[in-house]
Amino acid sequence: MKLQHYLGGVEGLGPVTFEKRVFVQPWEKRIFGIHVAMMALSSQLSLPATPSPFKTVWTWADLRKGAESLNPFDYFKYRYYEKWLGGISGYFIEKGYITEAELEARTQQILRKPDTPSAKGGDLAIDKRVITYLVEGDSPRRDSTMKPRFSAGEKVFVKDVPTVEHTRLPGYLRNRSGVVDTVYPGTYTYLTSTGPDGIGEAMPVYCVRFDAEAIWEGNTEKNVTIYADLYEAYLDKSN
Amino acid sequence: MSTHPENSAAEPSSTDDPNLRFSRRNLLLASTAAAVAPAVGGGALVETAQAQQVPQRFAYPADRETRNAARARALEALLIEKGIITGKTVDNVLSFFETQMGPFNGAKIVARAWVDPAFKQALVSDTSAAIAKLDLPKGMAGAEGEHMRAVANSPEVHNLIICTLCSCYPWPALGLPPYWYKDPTFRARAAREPRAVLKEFGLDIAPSVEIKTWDSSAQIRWFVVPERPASTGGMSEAELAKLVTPEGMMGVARV
Repeated sequence: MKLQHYLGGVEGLGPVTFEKRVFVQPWEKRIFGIHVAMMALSSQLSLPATPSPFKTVWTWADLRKGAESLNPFDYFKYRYYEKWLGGISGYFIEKGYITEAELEARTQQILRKPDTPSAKGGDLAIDKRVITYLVEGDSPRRDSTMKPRFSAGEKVFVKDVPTVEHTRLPGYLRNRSGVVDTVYPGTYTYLTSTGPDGIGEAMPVYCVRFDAEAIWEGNTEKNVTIYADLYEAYLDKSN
Repeated sequence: MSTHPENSAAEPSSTDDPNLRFSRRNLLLASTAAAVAPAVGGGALVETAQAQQVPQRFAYPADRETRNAARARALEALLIEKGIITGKTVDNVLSFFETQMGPFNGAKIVARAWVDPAFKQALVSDTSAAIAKLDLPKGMAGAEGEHMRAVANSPEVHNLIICTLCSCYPWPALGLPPYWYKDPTFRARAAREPRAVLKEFGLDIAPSVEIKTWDSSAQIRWFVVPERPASTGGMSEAELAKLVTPEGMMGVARV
């Protein structure tokens, strides 16, 4: 469990930055595009094969895991896309697609000669698959005969599951009670197994509502209701 | 301007780009450019661009953005040379978000909801099915839009979309998330004190209005149908769509 899993409700942070831009440095666009390409070429998708030698799995879970497993001080030190740049470069090195030495050598070369022309070429089937992924998506919904354990209107208790490196359960909801607002039809997988945290296999997902006052008693605002989408593994019957 | 290095566009210096999967080791490896003292654990001091003495962990090398940019370019070049992606892949992705998936789609959805109450009702009860009936680009149920849900503001209820764990955002309807949405300060504070945060954004929500905050923690990508502004009775649907902003569709601004 990391501080970054417990962000909701942290106090004493000062004003919010209303920065409306999506990218604040031109290079951030490039790493975003690379991430989308990796998700599209990821080997678990049933999309047409391409000549790309990218043959491993890369999903949001890998990107999130990389950021969530950081030392919290580093997590909060680096800007959003800096974490992407670090995590994605690290993945390509770890999986043996490139080496740190060649990445660093190329970086130095570009720093010395910023007008180095951009690389060109490649197989168009790769770009076709990337756009196909964007258009078709990758729904986690699975049809299942699994009966949801809870029903709309039922009071539920949020477990404090043993998260290690990755979770989809916001920390501030742990050990709190809420009411099931919506039982989503079907069941939903998560992109990876989160181990003892409990998600990965297809299971029902619920929209659960919480009174903010019941989460932060005496330390929140009036007339605020919080809704969160929670996998069944995170919920228990409430006494 | 930001007081938070995490999200500032204008922080003066930079980081080496550590391999974040092995963050601590690589932070140290990568810090040679900053002429770091040998001690670790936050006690070492380095000279920053501002010539202030600060603990090493929180110092950014002076060439932060130059190096980030070179590292990103180097990575893209190597991936192209090895045939993993093509010379056009990144530009194609960016162009897709400029022309096919973006807030211009959400604006059209909201404008239709403003002029057609039956569509608005359908939109909040089965968002994907309602959107599929509109003449929008292919891919409205594509990446990060596979399961979208719209919630409508009213005189009694104001909706706010957040993602405390990361940056989940309905790509086909709204495009890519702006920095404020990804800001850890926003993510932390909007959950517990949404009225205070909205006030900083220039939006005063009366105590009598219920705030519903939607934390995007599983498959659903949420967006808000803001209230139609007063004095727009004579406007066409296309003119109305021009009024709709991404901030309005996330619940941090009025339209």
